[in-house]
Amino acid sequence: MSDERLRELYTAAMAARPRGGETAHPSPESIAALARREGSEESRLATLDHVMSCADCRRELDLLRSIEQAGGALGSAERQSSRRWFVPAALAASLLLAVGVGSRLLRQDADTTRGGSEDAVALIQPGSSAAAGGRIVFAWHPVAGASRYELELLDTSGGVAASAVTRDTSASPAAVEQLPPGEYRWWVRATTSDARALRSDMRSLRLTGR
Amino acid sequence: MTLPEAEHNLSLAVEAVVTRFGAMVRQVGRRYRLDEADLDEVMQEVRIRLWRAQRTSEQIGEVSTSYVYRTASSAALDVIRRRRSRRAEHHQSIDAEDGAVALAEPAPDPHGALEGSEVVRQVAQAIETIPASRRPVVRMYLAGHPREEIAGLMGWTEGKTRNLLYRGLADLRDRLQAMGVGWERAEEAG
Repeated sequence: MSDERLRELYTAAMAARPRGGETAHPSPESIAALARREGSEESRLATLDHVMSCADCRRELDLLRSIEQAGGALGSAERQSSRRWFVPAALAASLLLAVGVGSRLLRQDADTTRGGSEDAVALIQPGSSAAAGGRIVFAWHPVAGASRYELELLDTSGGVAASAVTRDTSASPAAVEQLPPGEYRWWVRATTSDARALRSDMRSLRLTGR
Repeated sequence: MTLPEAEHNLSLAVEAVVTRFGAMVRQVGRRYRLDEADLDEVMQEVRIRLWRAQRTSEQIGEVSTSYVYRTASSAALDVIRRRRSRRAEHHQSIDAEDGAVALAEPAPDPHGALEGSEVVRQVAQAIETIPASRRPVVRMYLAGHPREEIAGLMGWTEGKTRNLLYRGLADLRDRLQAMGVGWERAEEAG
């Protein structure tokens, strides 16, 4: 039997295991410790042994170690950059930020927020403010292949003040009518029929008193 | 600056920070088959946390990489906890609904499939007999991860990784041979 055949058999054996089976999963902290190379080798090997035989935990490790390595790579780049190019970089960044913010502000349509990528959800309304106590219609552009949309309105503490799930490209959550004047933010997530999730930017919404 | 302008600038600053970090995670994650939906969920959580921090756009613009990284790490753990909790609830509801229903019997297999499933079972059994210090390495190798990745994850030298993998595969080979399953020695492992 070749290594290739053994790999196929191993893959089949892992696929045949019941998902979320009877063995206890290592804690998220243990998987994070594995990704960070923290703790004893023995405990990390024990965690890795489970992770490599559990599809759910493996996905969690992939996420955590991607974040760990990105943090390390960016931190290293930041340190190098600050050592070598601190003054010129700061000036360039300020200029870029000023140009970027300025041009974006100029381009910004009062009622339309474009997503960060071509695949993001683009919000339409409401604009930056609306009267508190009344019905508010939230609307966005359709996303190709979307099977449902989730709308969330967050208060200043980040809590969900109102939400809705719909197949339509607009929603008017009744809870919004009960909200006091203040600052809020809202966003929409689209889920496509092939289970992809696309998101909008966050938009500010100020509910004003009548 | 008016309040809406400040809000807008804050939004841009948060988005810039999140986009920069998210792009790096995506770039790294391509090596690890990272599920983009998982990352999206984490980065949305990071957005909310930065917003909750109630900083000004200038402060957000000056946020260090280590701060965003710590926020993302903590957000990822919360996302994982929530997901596990949802899975547990889902399993409980299935158990409650279908408690009396027996699991479906597998469809009758042709002879070849039965033989194959027996070998699959033997491989799964043999893996479990490898010493714990070598078994995860063998699992990673058989799952298609290169030796360099195993070494990087465990913080081992190339020599140590090669040694553990070689011995672990030898254990597996011996066990399978004892079970009557032949195996040609691997070239790429040695």
